Amino acid sequence: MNLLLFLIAFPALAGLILLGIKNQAARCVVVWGATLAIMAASAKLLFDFGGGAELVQFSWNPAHAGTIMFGLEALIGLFLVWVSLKHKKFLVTLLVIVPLVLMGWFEFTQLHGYEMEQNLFIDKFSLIMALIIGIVGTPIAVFALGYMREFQEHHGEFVKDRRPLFFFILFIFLAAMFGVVFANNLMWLFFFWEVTTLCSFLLIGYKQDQESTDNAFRALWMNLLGGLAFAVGIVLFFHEKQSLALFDLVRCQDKSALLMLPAALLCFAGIAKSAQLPFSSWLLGAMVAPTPVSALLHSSTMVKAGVYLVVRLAPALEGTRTGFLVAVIGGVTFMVGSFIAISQRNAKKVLAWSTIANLGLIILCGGIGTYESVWAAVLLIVFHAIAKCLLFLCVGVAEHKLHSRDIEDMGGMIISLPKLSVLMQLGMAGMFLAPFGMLISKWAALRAVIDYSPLLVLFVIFGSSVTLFFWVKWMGKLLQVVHPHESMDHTICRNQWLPMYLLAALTVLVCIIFPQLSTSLIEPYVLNEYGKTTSLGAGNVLIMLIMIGLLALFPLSFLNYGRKVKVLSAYLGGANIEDSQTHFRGGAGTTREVTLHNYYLHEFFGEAKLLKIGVWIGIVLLAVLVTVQFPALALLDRAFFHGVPRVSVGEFSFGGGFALRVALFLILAPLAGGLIAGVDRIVSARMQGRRGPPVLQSFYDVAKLWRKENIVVRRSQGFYVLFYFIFMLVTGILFFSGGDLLLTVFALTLGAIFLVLGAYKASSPYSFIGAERELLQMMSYEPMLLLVAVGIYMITGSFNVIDIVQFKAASGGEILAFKGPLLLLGLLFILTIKLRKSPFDLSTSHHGHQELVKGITTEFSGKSLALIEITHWYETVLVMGLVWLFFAQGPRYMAWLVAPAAAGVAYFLEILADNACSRVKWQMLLKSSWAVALLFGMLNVTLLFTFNSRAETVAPAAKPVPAAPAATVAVPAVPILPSTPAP
Amino acid sequence: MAYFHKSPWIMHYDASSCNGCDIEVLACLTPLYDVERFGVINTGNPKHADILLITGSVNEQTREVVENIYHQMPEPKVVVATGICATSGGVFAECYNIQGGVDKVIPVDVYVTGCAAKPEAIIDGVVKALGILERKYEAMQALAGGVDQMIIAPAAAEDLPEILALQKIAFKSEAEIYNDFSMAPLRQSMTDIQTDFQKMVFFKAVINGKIVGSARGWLDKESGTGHVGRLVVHPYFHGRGLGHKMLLAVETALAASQRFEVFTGHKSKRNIQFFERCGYKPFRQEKVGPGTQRERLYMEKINHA
Ligand code: SF4
Repeated sequence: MNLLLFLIAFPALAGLILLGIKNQAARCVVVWGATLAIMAASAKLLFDFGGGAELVQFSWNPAHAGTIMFGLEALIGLFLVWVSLKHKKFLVTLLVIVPLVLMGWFEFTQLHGYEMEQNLFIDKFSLIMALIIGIVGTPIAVFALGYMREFQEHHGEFVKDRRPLFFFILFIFLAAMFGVVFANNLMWLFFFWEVTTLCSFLLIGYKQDQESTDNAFRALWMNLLGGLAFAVGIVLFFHEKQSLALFDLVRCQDKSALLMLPAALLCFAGIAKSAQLPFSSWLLGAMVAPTPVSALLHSSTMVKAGVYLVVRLAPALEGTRTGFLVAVIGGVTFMVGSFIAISQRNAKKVLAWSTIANLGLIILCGGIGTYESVWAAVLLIVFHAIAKCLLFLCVGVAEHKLHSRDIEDMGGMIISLPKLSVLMQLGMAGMFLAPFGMLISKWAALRAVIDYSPLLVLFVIFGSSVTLFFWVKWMGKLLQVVHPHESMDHTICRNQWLPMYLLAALTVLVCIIFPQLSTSLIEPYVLNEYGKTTSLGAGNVLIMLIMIGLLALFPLSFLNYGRKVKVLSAYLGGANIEDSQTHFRGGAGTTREVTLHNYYLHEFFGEAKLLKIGVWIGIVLLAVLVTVQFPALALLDRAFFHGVPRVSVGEFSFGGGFALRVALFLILAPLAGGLIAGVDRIVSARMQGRRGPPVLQSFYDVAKLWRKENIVVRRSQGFYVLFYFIFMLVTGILFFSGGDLLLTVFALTLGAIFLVLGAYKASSPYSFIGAERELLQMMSYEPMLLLVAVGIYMITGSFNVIDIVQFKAASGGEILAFKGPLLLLGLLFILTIKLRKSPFDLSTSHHGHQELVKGITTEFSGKSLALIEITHWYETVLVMGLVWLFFAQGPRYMAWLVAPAAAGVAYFLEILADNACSRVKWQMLLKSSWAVALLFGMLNVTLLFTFNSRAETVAPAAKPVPAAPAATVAVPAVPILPSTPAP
Repeated sequence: MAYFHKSPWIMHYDASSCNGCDIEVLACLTPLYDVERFGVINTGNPKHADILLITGSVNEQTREVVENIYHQMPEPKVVVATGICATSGGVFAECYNIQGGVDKVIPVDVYVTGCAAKPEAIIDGVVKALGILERKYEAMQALAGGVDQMIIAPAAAEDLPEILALQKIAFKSEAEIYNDFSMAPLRQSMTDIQTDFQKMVFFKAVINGKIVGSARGWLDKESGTGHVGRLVVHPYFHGRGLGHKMLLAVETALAASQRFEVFTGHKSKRNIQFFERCGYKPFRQEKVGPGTQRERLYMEKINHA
């Protein structure tokens, strides 16, 4: 317990000391010392509580604690009243006074000597949060040392140097955060909660100009509103249960209206604190604050207090309407936030929106409240905190060095700030690339929502499809090289590097040890709360490890690549000016420079419009949230939400015949793919009244390319192709070994991202446009592809390809195509994109004389181009495998004869479409693909969800409870809707 | 067989044609002629192409484009000049802005005559080009496989143009490091190198009759210093020990000196590492001139022999 008290009290103490220090050197010493102490204490926490009992409550009840806290609250309140009156913000004044009066009334007249003994506690979830605060959050204070010095140098004339105050608040804030995660007494929790609000207010307003002050007040009133809800919630809860213990609320089995209301109000507070819609605007406004503030408060810790509360309440929310509404708010925020991030050029705003979006995903998982979703939520919290923190720090430094926050100005950072840009890319990879954690967590989150509600599936699918678009285009911007610059890395001071290195190392580390993280910390927590838990199947972990291994090869390949390539400048329509990489001969003999510019798609994802819609939806949902207990709303249940979710999925393991199938895939797929490509050309030619090339033509082409010289613009281009190839193999292995379909779909997209990055790297206008459009295509087809996986799961009850093939329906008609005809149609629609066919192929030009020259492949030649071609063959076989899957059930001949024939017919239809259509514009592509996903995909999924009588053929995923701890009770999952028994 | 004759990918460029020949070229793709039967693809991107098919004569405007496209095509490659304009300038030959046929600018392998060239003739020309493509590939292979038979010998005066061309290719990557294309080795003229030739010892590395590397050096009698300079190796043959052998040859020729001296750009990591492996140590660094960021790193080695 002393350790807990130390973690709460020590930062506050350090803060007080720092308040008195004006000298930079002395400040350095204190901040370093305090940081190391807090980190060491957090690490000790792991040793002390990482293994043992699940939940440890501490009896610690100092005399008059309640009164003292109220006194402090009153002081804070008075201060805020004074500030708000000074700035004429009367709403704030009101929002300060009302909860204060309420709390005073409650404290002195209602409690009647109620004493709580066990005010502090720690369990695995609190431990994880404490580690995040201590190890991810605290080093930011060190970063702030260097950063704030530069900040004052840059903005010295406008901004008064109030650094002692700044560091004081930073450390007070850390103390409050520890308080939030350790408090069991709701009154204490509330106290620490309000302290974080205050800290945030002061730090956002640090610059003291008009904009900062306004934004600070916006953050203040929104969080105070949440605080008010919190206070009312506490009062109501005490009224019902005569208790102030957090765990009495969390473990409350009685889900009656009167008890759900306090939970709803607490969620309200959490939603405000984590900047969900309709409150998102405060977090955006908070970006005016210096970067360490954004990193510490508005990405990795304070907003995590909001999601902490919601996830903490998850067991109480499970299977309730309140929980569902919370989940919908999170879902809407995730989707809208991701959409808006696309249209942002300001790097900090992209980070802000993606933070809001990711918090939304966590809130969504918390609202669902099942054991699987909580597992996913905790994973998300961990990965997001680390990677986002790293990104914020990097962007902050880049801003000081490039004097701009604009992503367009970050072009060529790989040259001008090489180390920094590598760190930044690592952070981005952590946000969305396999095998880094966010991807796994998104995958887990999607799996968790599928059983719950198709509406939520919609949010997750669209939200995560667009995520990769804005990350990859930003990464591409960093990679491309326009001007040669001098490296400025050495101008960044050590106090800034060290925290960034630490975070980068953590990003990699959690990605490697995350199976361990899951089994030793997250699963015990989930097990303790729910009596059962989930985890990644052994097979999937193995796939992840393979991916990690592959990525580890990445730096190795740098050593030996680039010997046999010839470096030439990019293709500029032949108008290159000699001696220059980037200039070309323009009209009338002028010299012009190539400029490359990302897509921002304002017309679809403009911030103003989407934000307005989002805020209104948010307001309505919140209003419903607090009034949800009215019976009229029961109608909602039927359509969107099933109450208690059904039994979940089985795990995939490498069954018999695994090696054989994989070997067959590796050897036969390129042969089949190459043949298909040849036949494709012949059939096309026949359709045009020609004879066409020999059937083996594709093989001739590749054999020739293999022997040609390899010309590149950048030496590293080739790795990306290599990784594209390898990822495609891994994806294929995953699919054909009978692995997880959802993971296959994710991996399919990720592989293609490598090619896109390669094209960005080449920095030629043609490949750049090709890359942007390829991304756009991915964003277009991804929702439908995911919906196919989801729909198949709904029909068969499993994501594992092997189970899907062996699926037997209860009442005849086991062919998937009969149950999911719309899914199949939707799949055929988006296959035109995947197979690079008109009208929806925008990123390459497979017909002569199309506008893009060769789009994404423009700058590849020789062996690289041959490898791309071979990868396409694999890809063709893989996506045709998806069509095959729709027909492969039932008797053996189906899988061996009928299904391949069906895939063949599907391919023929694609060729037909290719020859019958000309290309469409990208707007049309995006609109129509998403419309198809919504109409066909969602319709079919919703129908399945409402009417399907799915056979419960698969064993539940719940792990057998190991050496059952006394506290846990296994709760069997009971399906509410009638479901037919397994045959 | 290297499949070049089975998969000719063509880049078609119109240098200033009257469009008569272009129409015939496109006619080859139509059902009547259907050149895809032979695996022909019209790529529209030099980096994918094997055959550069040019119609029309080259004028002032298109000269540079033709050069650029040609240089951006990966080896082996062939050029087919299509139509009488492309072969000789045709009726436009006397025009004030016309340079003449394509061969005035880049080497041409096949000439297809006719005004306009008939599709049959064009196809015939392409088929001829395929044979040349295969032969060029074999020559390339022989060159690449011939490193073991490399000869290092003193250069003769008639080698100088080839050495100069090689020097420019080799120093291009060097110039890219500094984004400074004004460096002396790139600007050296023929007369310049001839005067060098009078004063210095000149070596060449030859594979299959083609010069792939060169080095030179001179002895400063007063200080007893042997200066080694302009050590160049064709990019194809980097990392195969050519540089080391030539350096040895120069050092042996200047055996009378007490120490050897070289210089290279301060950021040219590969060069610096190369010289360090050969026993050189850096001792001085200075700016090349007022207008440039480039600095020279001087390295030396004591002659123990
Ligand atoms: S050869 Fe005749 S048809 Fe061809 S470009 Fe010249 S003038 Fe036109």
